[in-house]
Amino acid sequence: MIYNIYYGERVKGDDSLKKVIRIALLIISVVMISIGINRGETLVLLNKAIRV
Amino acid sequence: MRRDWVILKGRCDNLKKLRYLLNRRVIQVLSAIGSNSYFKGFIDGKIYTGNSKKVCVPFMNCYSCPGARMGCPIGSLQAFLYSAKHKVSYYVIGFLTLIGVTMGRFVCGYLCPFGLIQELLYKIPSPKLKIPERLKYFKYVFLILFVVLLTVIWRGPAFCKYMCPVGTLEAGIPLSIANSSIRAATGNLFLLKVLLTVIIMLLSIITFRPFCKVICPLGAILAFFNTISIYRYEVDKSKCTSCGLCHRKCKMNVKVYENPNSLECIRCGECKEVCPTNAIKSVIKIKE
Repeated sequence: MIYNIYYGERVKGDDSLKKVIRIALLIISVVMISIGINRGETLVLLNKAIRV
Repeated sequence: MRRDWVILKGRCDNLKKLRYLLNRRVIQVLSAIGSNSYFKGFIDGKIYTGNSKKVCVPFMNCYSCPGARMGCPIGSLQAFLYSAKHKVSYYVIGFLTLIGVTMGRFVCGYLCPFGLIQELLYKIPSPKLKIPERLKYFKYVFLILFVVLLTVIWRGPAFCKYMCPVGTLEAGIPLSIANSSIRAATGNLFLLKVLLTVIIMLLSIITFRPFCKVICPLGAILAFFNTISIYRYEVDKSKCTSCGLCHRKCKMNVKVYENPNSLECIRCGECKEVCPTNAIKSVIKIKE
C-alpha cells in the first residue's frame, strides 16, 4: 500500500500497478516452472545428487 | 485498581509474546527437521539421492547436507549457470519468482534453518551490537559477483565452493566427520570456510542474523519481492501514532511505521506484537 508522504493518502495508480505486476509474475513463474520441468531440469538436479 | 490493571496488562502482553514466539519457533524447528529428515545420511556420511532431490526448498539448505531431502535454490541456480547444456534454469528462476511473489521474505523469518541457528545463538547473553546500515548492500554484491559472474567465469559454483557457511555447517562438517574419504580430501579451502563459518556464528551471538543481513544471496533475491508479495504487512494510518516502538523493537532495523514492506523485513512479526494500537497487520491478498 503506497501513501502520499505529505497527506497520508493512498496513491491509487501505484496500487493497481502493483496488482498487475503481482498477477503477471504469478503467471510467468508458473509458466517458467512448467517449461523447466518439460526441459528435464529437475532430472539434472537429481543427477547432480547421484553424481556427488 | 490501576496497579492491578497494569500487572494484568503486563501478563497478557507476555502471554501474547510467548504465543507468538512458540508459533514461529515451532514452525522454524519443524522446517529445519523436515527439510533434513534423512537421518541415516548423518550416520553413513552419504547424501540422499531420492526423487525429492528434483525439488528445491524455498530457503538456504545445503543440497549436500547428509540429511537434506531437497535441493538448495542457490546451489541449483549455480549448477545450471555453469553447465554447458542449460545455462539458464527456467525451473529454478520460476520457482524463486513464485516463492517471492507469494511469500517474499516470510521464508527467512519462518522457514530458514540457518536463520533459526543464528537466532538461537543471539539468545546467548552478551553485549548486543547493530550492524552498520551500509553493510546490508553487500548481499546484492555477493549475489551478482559470486552466484552469477564468478560461477559463469570459473565454471563452478563459486558461492558454494568459496563462501557458503550454510554448506560448511550443514554439509562440509558432518560429511567430513562421518565419511573418512571426504575427510582425507579436505584441505586449506575447507579450513578457510570453517573459519568463516565460525566467525559468522560468533557474530550471531552479538548481532542479529549477520548472515541474513550481509551475505545471504537468497535473501537478496527475495527482498526484491517484499514490496509486492501477496503476503505482506499493512499499517493502518488511522491507528498508527508513529510512536516508533516497532522500529526500536525490530531486530532488522526496519522503520515499520514508514515502510512496512521494507526489503529488509523478514516478517518475524515482532512489530505486530509490540504495537500498542494494533496498527500493523499481515494480509494475504492480490489486490491492495
